[in-house]
Amino acid sequence: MTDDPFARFSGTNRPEPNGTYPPTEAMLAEPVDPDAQAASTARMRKAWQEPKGFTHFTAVNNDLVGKWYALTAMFFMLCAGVLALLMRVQLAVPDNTFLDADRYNQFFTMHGSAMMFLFAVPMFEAISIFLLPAFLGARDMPFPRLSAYGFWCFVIGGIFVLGSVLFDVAPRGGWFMYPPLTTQDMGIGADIWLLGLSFIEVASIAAAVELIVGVLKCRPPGMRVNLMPLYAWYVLVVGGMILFAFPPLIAGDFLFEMERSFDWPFFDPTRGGDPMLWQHLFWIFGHPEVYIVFLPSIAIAAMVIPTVAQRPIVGYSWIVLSAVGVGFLSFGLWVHHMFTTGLPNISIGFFSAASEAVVIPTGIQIFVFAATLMVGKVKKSLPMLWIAGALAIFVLGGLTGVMLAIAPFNWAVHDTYFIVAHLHYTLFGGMVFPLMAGVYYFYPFFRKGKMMSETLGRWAFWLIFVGFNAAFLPMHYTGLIGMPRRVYTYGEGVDWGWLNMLSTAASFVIAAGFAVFVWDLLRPKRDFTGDQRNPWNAGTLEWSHNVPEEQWGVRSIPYITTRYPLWDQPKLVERMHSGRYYLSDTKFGHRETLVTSVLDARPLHIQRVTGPAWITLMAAGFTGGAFIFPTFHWYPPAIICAAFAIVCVLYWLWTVTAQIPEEPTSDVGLGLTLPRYASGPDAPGWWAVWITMLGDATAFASLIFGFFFYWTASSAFPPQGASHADGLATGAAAVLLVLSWAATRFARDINRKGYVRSAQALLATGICLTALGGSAVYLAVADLQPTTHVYPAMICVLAVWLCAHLLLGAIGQGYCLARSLAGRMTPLYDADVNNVSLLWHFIGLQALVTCTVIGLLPGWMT
Amino acid sequence: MSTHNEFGTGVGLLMKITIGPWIWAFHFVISYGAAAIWCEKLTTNGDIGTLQLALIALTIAALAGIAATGIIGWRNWSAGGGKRAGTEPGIDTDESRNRFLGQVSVLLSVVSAIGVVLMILPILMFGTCQ
Repeated sequence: MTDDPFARFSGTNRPEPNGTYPPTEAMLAEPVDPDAQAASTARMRKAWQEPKGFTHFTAVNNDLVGKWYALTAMFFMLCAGVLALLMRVQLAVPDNTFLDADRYNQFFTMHGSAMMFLFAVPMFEAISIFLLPAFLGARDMPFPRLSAYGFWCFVIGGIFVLGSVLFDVAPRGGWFMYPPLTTQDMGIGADIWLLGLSFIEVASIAAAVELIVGVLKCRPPGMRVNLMPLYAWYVLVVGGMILFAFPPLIAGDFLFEMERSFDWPFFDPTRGGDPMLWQHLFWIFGHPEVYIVFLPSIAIAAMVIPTVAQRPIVGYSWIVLSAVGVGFLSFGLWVHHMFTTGLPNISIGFFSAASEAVVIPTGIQIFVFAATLMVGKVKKSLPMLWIAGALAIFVLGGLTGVMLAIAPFNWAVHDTYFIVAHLHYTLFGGMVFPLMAGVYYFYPFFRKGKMMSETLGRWAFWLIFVGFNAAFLPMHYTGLIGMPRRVYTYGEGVDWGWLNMLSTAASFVIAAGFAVFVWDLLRPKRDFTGDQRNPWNAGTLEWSHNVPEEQWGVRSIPYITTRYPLWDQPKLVERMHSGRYYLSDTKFGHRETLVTSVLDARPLHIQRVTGPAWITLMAAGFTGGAFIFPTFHWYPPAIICAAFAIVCVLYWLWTVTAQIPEEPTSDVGLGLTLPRYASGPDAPGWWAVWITMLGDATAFASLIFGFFFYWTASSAFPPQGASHADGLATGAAAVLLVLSWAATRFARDINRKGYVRSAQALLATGICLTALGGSAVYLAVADLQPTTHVYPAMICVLAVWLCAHLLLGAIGQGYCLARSLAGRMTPLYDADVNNVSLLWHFIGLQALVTCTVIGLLPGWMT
Repeated sequence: MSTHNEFGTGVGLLMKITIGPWIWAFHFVISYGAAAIWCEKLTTNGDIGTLQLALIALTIAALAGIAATGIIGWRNWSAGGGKRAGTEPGIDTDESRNRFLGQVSVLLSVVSAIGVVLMILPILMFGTCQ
C-alpha cells in the first residue's frame, strides 16, 4: 500500500462509485451526531455564502441569479406594456395625431420583440434557473457561472435593444423583420434588432444547455425519470426545442446582417436572392417559439394543480405524452404564418394539417388538468383563480387557432385585428395567466414563508381578466370587419372607432391590474406574520426549503422514491434538514452537488460547482461589445471585444473547470463513496458540449437548407457561367481538416493510455493542420465576388462559418495542449481533451459537408 | 455497482420513446420537400400522380414503423406485473420505469400516427400542385 490515494488509479483504471446504494431504512433512521452536524453546517454555510457589498453582483447562486433574471424580465415586460398603452392611446379615436407613423412603427415592433425576446423566453429561463434545482433537491445548477453569464448578456442586450426606442432609432419593420422592407431601411434599427437579439438568443441557448443537463444529470438519487416533477419534463422538452428552433433564426440573422453590412444579396431578388428564405428561417424559429413560451407556463400549472386538488396528477404519462408530442408537432406549423405568400396549395395543405394535429396533444393536457381538479378536493386559492382564468382564455385562443389553421379563413383575416386578438388570447391564456398563478404560488418559496395579499390578488385578477377580455374580445370583430394590423391611424368613415375606444379603455384596466400586482409583489411585507415553510401543503421537493433562508440549496440531497415526496415519504424533510442524506458536508470547502445517472438517478460522482467571480461579468461585457459595436459599423472595437471575450472565457475555464481533485474519491454519506471527477460521457461538461454543438449543427443545417432553398426556388442557381469555389483548394481543405480531426481523436486515446508526450505532439500537429485547412478554405473562395450574386455569397458565407469554427477548434486544441503541458490534464483527469475531441466530431463533419456542398454539389445541380 | 457510461445508454432508452414522433417528423419533411421539388422542378403540367404514389408508399412505411414502436411500447407497458389484477404496482423499480416509458411510447405512437394520416390527406385530396 502506498500513501498516495491517486496511485491506485490510471487513465484506464478509473475510480468507480463504491458502497451501499440504495440506502436502507435503518441507515436513514439512524440519528445524526449533533456536534458533527454543527461543524458541517458551518462549513456548508461558508462555502455557499453569497458575496456581500459591491461584489454582490458577482454572485452566481441560482436563487439570486434567478431572482435578478425574473425581475429584469418583468421590468422589460412593463416597458413593453407601456409601449402597448401608448399605441392604444393613438388608436383610441380616428385620425389621431398622438404618435406619428414612424414612432408608431417603432413601438409596435419593440412591443412584439420585447415581449417575445426580453420577457417570455427569458422569464422561462429565469424561473427555471430559480426553481429547477429546488424541484430536484439539487444544490445549484450544474454550471452556475454560465447562468450568470447568460443573465448579464441578457441585461446588456435587453437594455441596448429596448433603449433604442428612447433615441428614436428603434427597429420599425415589425417583430419579424421581413425583408426587403428591412434590408433597405437606412436607419440602424434593423441592425439593433438583429445583433441585439442574436446576442440574447445566444444567452437562451446557454440556458437551454444548462437546464437540459440539470434535468438529466442533477436529480437526487432515486428520482427515476418516471418520478420527476412534471416541470422537469417540460424543461427537458423546451430545452430541446430551443436547440432546434433558435439556431435557424441565428443563421437567418447572420445572413441578414451580412446583407445589411456587406451587401451580400441573400434576400435581394435582383441578384438571385429571395426574401422568402428569411420568412422560412424566421418562422421555423417563430412557431416553435410560441410553444417554447407556452409549455413552461403550462408546466407551472402542472405543479400548481396537484397541490390545489390535494392529490397526485391524474395521468402523469399523458402529460409527458402531451409535452413531447407538442414539442415535435410544433415544428411542422411554421408555414401557417406564410399562407398568403403564394406557396403551392399542396404545401399549404401539409401545414394546415399539422396545425390541426397539434391541437390533440395540446388538448390532452387541458383534459388532464380538468380531470385532476374534478377528482381532487379543490381548495379555493389565488393560484387556482389564475389557473382557471388561464384555462378559459387559452381555450378561446386555441379555438381561433383552429380556425386560422384553415387556409381559406386565414387568407380572409390575414393581417387583420383578428390575428391580434388570437395571438393575445393564446399568449395571455398560455403564458401570462399561468405565470401569474406561479408567482402567487411560489411567492412563499421566493420570500421564505411570506405570502402575497389575498385581497390585492383578487383585485389584480379581476382587473386583468375583465380588462383583457374587454380589450381583446372585440378585436376579433374589429378584424373581421376589416381593420388591418400595424396601421397607426384610421379615418372617420369606418365603423371601428367605438371598438377601438373600447379596447383602449379596457387596456388601461389591464394596466391597473398589473399595477396592483407589481405593488403587491414588491412591497416589503414587514407586517406579515405566520411564516410557513409549506403553506399550500404541496407534495414536491421545493417546499422542503429552509425558512429562514440558507444559501446552500438543500442541506443534504435526499433519496427519493415517490412523485410527491413531501406527501408520501414521512420524515423526509426532517432528515434532509438534519443532514441525514447525501453530501451534507463539504470536506474541502468547495461548492459541490451530486451527479446521477439519466434514467434511474443512481449516484455517479461529486460535481464541483463554480462560485462568484468577476470574470463572468467581464466575459458578458466583452461579448456585448462584440455584438453591439457592429451595429454602428465599428468593426475594430468589435474585434477587440471578441478577442477579450475569448480570453475571459479561457481564463474562466482554465481556473475553475475540470480541476484535478484533492483526492480521487470521497465519502458522501450513507455508506457511499463517489469519484470526485468525471470525464467523457459521464461528465456534465461533455454533455454541455454535445448539446451546444447540436444547436450549432442546427444553425449550420439552416445555412445548408438555404443553399438548397435557392436551388428549388430559382431556375438559375447556380447561375450560367458562374465562377465556382476552387476545386483543388476545396479538396485540400477537406483532407487537411479530416486529418486534424483524426489527430485530436487519437490524442484523446493515447493520452488516456499514458502516452502524454505523443498526445501533446498530436495536438500540436492538429493545430498546424487546422491552420493549413483554414488557409485552404480561404484560397478556395478568395476569387469569388459575393456581392454580385447570391450563389458566390452563399459559398462565401459557408466558408466564413467554417473558418469561425476552425478558429474555435484550434483554440480547443491549443487549450488541451496547454493544459497537458501545465500538468492540469493527465491520463486520469482528461475531461478537456474528451470535450475538445467531441467538439471536433462536429467541426470535422461540418468541414466535410461544407467542402461537399461548395465543391461538388454545384456540378450536380447544373 | 457497474454504472460506467450509463449516461449514454440511459439517453438512448429515453430517446426511444420519441421514435414515433421522429418518424412523423421525417415523413413530414420528406412529404413537404418531395412536393416542393416535384412541383417546382420535375413536373411541367402540375400533375401529381407519381408523387401521390410515392408518398402513399412512404406513409404506409411510416405507419408500419410507428405501429412497431407502439407494439414494443405496449409490451414494456404490460410487462412487470403492471396489469395483474389486484396488485398495486410499485413506482420506484426498474420495471415501473420501463412500464412508464412503454406507456409514453404507446401514447406518442398514437399521436404520431394521427399526425402522419393528417399529413397524407392533402396529397390524396389535391389533384394538382395548385
